[in-house]
Amino acid sequence: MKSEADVVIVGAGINGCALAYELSKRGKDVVVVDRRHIAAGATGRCGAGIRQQWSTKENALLAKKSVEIFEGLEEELGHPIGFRQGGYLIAIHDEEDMKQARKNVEMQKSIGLPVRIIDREEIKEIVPILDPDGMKAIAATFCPTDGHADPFKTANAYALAAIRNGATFYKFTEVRGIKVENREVREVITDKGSIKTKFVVDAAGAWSSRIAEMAGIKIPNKPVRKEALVTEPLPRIFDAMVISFRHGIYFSQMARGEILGGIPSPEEKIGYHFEPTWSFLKKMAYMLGRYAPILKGTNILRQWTGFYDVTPDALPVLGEDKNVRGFIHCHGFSGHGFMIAPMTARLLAQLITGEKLDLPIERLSLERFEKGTVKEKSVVG
Amino acid sequence: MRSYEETGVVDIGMLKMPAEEQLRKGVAITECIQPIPCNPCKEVCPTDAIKMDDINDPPDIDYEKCIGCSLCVEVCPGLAMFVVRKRKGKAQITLPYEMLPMPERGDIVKALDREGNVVGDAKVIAIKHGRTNIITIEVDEELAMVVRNIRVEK
Amino acid sequence: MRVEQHPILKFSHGGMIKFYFNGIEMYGFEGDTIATALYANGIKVFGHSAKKKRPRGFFCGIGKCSSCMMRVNGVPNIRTCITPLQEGMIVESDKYDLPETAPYRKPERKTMDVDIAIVGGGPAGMAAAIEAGKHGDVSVLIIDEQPRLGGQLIKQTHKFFGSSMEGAGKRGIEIASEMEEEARKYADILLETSVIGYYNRGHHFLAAVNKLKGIVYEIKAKKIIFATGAQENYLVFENNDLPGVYGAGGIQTIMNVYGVKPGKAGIIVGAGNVGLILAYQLLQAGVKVKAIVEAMPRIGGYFVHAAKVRRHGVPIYTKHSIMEAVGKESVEGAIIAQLDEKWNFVLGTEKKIDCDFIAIAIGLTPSARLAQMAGAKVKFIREAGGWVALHNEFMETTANGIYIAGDAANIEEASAAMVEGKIAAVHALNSISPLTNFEAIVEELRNEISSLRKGKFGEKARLAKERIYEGYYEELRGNRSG
Repeated sequence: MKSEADVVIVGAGINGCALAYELSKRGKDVVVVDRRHIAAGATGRCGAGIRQQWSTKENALLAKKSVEIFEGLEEELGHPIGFRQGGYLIAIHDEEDMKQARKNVEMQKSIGLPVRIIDREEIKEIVPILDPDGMKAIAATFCPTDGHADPFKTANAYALAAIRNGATFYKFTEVRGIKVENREVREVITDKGSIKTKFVVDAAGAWSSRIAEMAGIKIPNKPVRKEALVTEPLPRIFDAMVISFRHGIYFSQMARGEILGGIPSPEEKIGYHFEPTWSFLKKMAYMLGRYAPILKGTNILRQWTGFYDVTPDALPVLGEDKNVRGFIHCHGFSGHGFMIAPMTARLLAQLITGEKLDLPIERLSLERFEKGTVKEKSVVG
Repeated sequence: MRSYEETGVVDIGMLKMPAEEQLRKGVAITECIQPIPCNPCKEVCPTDAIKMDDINDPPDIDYEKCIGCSLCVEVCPGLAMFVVRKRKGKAQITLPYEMLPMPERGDIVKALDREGNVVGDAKVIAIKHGRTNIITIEVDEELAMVVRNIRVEK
Repeated sequence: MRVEQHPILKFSHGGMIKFYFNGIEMYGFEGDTIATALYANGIKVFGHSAKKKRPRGFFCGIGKCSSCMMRVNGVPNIRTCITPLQEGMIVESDKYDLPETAPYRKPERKTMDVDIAIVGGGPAGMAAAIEAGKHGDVSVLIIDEQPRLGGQLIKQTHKFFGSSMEGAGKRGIEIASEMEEEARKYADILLETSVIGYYNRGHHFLAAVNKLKGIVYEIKAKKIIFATGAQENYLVFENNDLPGVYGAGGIQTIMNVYGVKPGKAGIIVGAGNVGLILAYQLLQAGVKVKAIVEAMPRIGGYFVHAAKVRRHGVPIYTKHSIMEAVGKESVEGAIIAQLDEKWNFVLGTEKKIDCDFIAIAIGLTPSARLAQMAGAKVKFIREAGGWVALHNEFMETTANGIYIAGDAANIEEASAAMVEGKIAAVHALNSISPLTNFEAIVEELRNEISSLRKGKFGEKARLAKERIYEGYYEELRGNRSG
């Protein structure tokens, strides 16, 4: 194991891999440490949707910038990422929804997103198997540049490109401690050896609070069990991601034709509960049947769990810690880490190398929780 | 490595040969040579001629005690028991037969060796129907230790 | 393609049933599965794959491989090898399109509450049910996805080794029907029902589905015994997906259970006991066996099984393997060749054998996934056949009240599977309500199983079990300290 590095990233999920790439591109000597392997946590378990339709301008901008990166990412990294833009179709269930949708669309348009409100007929044109009655939808918003990428391929593509730039990945290596002296990060201690460094990045997803604790930092994140399922492959039917903030459901059709989606589990629990639940399976199957009746009778191949790393306002924590110099927060993505990873990685790389940031990230600092926050409303899963 | 593990054909040298006199009386020949946890032959033997200290031991036949009754031929799960009796220049071989078609008494069938080669003709002289049908055939005496199967061509 | 006469088996076919295959009227017998009825009509190709349009037929014959899936009465992806044929059924090759309307009716929901739930009604599962019923007053439920009980026993026409006391010398089929009769006295039985998942809902809970009848079972159980068996290993060679390449067990199923021949002449890959026994069973059904090929330098199965087929003139080629299956829509031949010390084919030794099927008999992998879902820790143990659920001497896994028995616990033989089932049942019973003679019963069973594992052929099982127990206790210690 290397004894020294410019930056040690804890966690080889999408954010750890993307940041390793962005830093290595800037000539930094980067080490990524993961207890398991690339995309073993939330990244490899997520729906991997990429959405720009957010209720706050900051989030929408962050997502938009990410999509711009996604669009050229295969070329940049030199590996396939399975990116496609089939759009996000977000159900509008009643007048109240409609009011919020109009507000959102107006803001989203102002930053240049091609989003629009569509009627029930158009819902069926875009996703022919949807039943607006079953969905209880009066309309929907649709942004055709939203999309999806393969989470395994994307994380691996970032990792491979980072490795080409000189980054080192230590898989199946567990961080046991972080040495802090004079309120500065000095060393990361793992079960395979120690690495001296000035920067440690906490990109450990649902386990980020444990990593922060090693540096004496308390963060308010909670691991929340989420579940997803995938059906048998079907012929190609639709390209969009279908979601509803009211029902919490999301689903889309994958490259091989299988339908992958999730919904909040009735047995949802905070804590490290890995077991999938029967109530999720029943609820998701029922809702899928309501949204797309033709899917009734379709076999479900698998269900699995993963964790959202959830903050009180459902927004990520980004930036350097105010008390421990060199400790970089890169967590709390609350279920949206994948879609904004290209941009957050770029911003954090800019922060670490002292460049000017493309977007401000102060509002996402850990300190915001002391002041009180506004919760992001556009959340599913 | 023993050659039978490669070929599936027993090396006759490995078998305990009865004396001529015992063969004239008719005795069971066991071709069960590996340790297998199995003992029905020992249990069924009416004269306690089969020695087996542990269930995994291959059966060891006492040719003095064996009366050639062929109960072990019928019961053996591995179809590895035969009775051979030499009489008047002929050898009578009792063997298990679980195939179709079944021959009839008096039929002339093909006599096969341990590799399924035809080595001569055999006359069916007895058939006993049971859990495993057993058939007694008559072949030339020099084939007593060669023939272990028949083929019925109907 | 039906077996007309058989020296051991009597096939009592039920009445004629009319069905349609891709619009063509065909007939099968009551008691057939869709796959066996198609076979009896000479249909080997059930469909073509979605992407590359490769022909597809059945492979495993026991519902584990999904190679035989077809659209039945409009429902896509039905495993035809375990689905009973019914009058007027519309059986179609899948076109991979969406049906016009969902082939769906609201399922009936049934809840059950039992003391011991047993998943799998093979030798281990049936033995467990009988043992539990004999020693205690408990409710026992067996769930199996096959149309009948017996697991792989119902296709074993050969006589079993073992002690005379335990019914050695009997054929598997006889043991199966005796055990079934006995098991029915003590247990409720759900057939054609697949357990689709285990969930911990504060108690042990299984979700099971009878897809054809449209019933969802929600089963609460105090203890669960997973006797889920194993599945056939696969081998990589060119054209290995052609219809006509079968798992050994699949052939045994259609031939010995349903009386349908897999073809006219075939070769067998693997000279372990399964391959050798299969060869003999094929001969009995009137099917030619052209060769048995074995990659190892020696025959893996018992010598007596090898001798049985050798004296019928079947050659066994050790240090040989299959290079290629020949054929367009189904198997028309096989190319075999010799292997060198590094397992590479020796060029120039290729032999083409004309045959219309190829049986793969290269071992089994335990089906331990349900137990794993129930929280049992699994570990890769080569001697046991792959990923197995760690368990102790009482067959209890690292998950409390979750047991595993039979091939699911370690690839072994039916007799060992039965004793394991019994041990699991007695331990489960004892932890529900203590038995006065628990120690004595268990000791006797444990003696029985160790005598089965004695000797050279028991070596692998002994080693596997040692490593499984070791892993179990390591895991237990780890949990305590962590």
